[in-house]
Amino acid sequence: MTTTLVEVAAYLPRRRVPIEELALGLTPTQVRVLRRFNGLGEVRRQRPGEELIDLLAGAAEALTSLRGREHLVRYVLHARGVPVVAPYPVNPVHELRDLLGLEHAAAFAVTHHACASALLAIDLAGRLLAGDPDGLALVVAGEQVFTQDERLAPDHRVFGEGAGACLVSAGGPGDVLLSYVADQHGDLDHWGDDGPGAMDRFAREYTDLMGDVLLTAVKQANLCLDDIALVLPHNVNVVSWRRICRRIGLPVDRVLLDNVPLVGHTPSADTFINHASAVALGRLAPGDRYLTAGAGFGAVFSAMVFAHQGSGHMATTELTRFRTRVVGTLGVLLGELLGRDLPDLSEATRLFDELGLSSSKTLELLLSLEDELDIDVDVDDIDRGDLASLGSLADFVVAHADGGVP
Amino acid sequence: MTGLTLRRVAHHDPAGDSVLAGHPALRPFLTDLTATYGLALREDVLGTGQAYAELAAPAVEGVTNAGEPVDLLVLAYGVPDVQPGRNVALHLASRCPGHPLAFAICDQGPAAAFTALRLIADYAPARALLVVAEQSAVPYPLIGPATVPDRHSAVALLFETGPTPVAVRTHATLPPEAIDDVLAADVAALVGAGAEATVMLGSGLDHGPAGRGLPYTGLWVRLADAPPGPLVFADYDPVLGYLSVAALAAG
Repeated sequence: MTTTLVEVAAYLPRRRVPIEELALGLTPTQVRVLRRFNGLGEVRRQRPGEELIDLLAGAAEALTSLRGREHLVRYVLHARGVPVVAPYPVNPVHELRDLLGLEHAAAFAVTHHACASALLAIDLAGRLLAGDPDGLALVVAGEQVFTQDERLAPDHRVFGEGAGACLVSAGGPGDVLLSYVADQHGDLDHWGDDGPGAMDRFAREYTDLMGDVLLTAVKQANLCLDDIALVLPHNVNVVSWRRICRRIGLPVDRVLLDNVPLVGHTPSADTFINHASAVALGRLAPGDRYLTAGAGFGAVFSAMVFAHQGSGHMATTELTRFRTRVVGTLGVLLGELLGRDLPDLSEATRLFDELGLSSSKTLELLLSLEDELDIDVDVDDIDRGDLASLGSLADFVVAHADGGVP
Repeated sequence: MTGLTLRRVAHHDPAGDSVLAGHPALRPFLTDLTATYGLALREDVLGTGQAYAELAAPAVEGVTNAGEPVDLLVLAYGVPDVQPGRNVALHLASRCPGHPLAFAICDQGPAAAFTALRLIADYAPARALLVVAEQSAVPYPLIGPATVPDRHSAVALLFETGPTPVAVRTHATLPPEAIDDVLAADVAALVGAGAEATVMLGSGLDHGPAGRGLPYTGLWVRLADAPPGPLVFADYDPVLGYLSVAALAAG
């Protein structure tokens, strides 16, 4: 049996909420700790009135390879971090199935693996499709943060809202699943008889258990840690990943922690959100082996190893299309901004030296691009090198845009 | 799919409610859960019901022995647990010989148990548990058609490797008028020409007294009465429109 990810997509609500503005009862000192030591900053939240189905559909509809192949989808799986996400009999996975025109597919939720449920769902989808080379399964993950479990103090992680989706096949083109390990510890159950004690032990043993499951997954893939190009983490915080890296001897720069300050921890969807970012940032090359991992109370520690197949990857294709749109739109906008035709414009054209743009004019250009393509570009990290040429500016936009890519 | 034989079935249906249904964390969770849908809690129901961890544990103990390690445990349910955030499958696995891989399937009505059986067969385990649970307390108004039992019940079924492959067929979005033809064709295909099998129908297909009030577990409880040999069983969910049909060997 070979399980492959045909395509991965992510969706983040547009509303950004700094962690101090969340109604978590955080003291200023707790906020400083969360920001400085845990690397958290803001999370995404839906606007009032938006529903869970909007989150899930946002991710699923970003799967470009689903279009025209709906009839091949046999299963729709909703990976749930929290087993109950809506009042019974509200049924988000069936709402999504019907919204996408997949009424012929069997739909269900996969849960009780906490925030690692998405990894379980991918594995189950591959098993269900074994022997059906044409069949596809849609796996979605995403939950609203509608309550604050009073026993889960926000001292290490902050929950954000976001969603992810992937199409799974048995043996088709895509990222190939090399190993999956789920290490269960039902005694570390915060709903059990000794909830506080279980949570304390979970915290004490977390680094060792997470490190062990990562190493086991790598070993089961017949690889060593040096073979792993990138780790797609769950976005609980930065400091715990630094500890895990020290524990197993993994350079921390091989863990994609970029989304921790920007997105926070989304139940079950972090793998997909980080996958989409890794592709957009160029952190995964064809043939790269990568790890993804998650854990949660109850307790379970899970990891998967994949081989990235960039050449056949639809998300990469979509990114290429998006970049082409960015380059073309920038060309039009530059002509308008400068009030003249630019017949010799190319990606190598130097914005300052050849076109005479100033820094402020370049930012005006970016604002116009955002309006034109209905995207948001995070310019916090932009530097002069990104503005050197039309091509470098397009690269920056593709890597930092929200709204225009899967 | 591998062959599996149904070895044991254990049922637990306590009359009372679980003390865990009165946990103080449930009111704020359920208040927030229902508020987004404009629903108020039903004070006459809040604090009643069964926790699947307590409800299913005796059934699991009833079919397992210390010397028989279990490789896989799959929990299926439709009505939410009164402990909405608890990963019960992991809890049950920690108390089960062999500490099996465990997870839960839900939000598919009675078809979830059939999906769970299909997954068990896909894993090809030496020994596996299917646990189906339902409890009747929903502490807020139902805002749509819903399948709710009239009492609490959990059933555990122990499967072991056997010579007969398990077959599970799930038909999604099947209108009631199509049931008879699809079911007859499936039963004929699964039993095989000239062969005989015990056929059992769940409460979605057989509206007689058997299994009444237990739409999720009733059929699976009755599998204990199946004579050794080929067995075909089926159920229909009028809310979600699934017709599920399965065939296996009873031991």
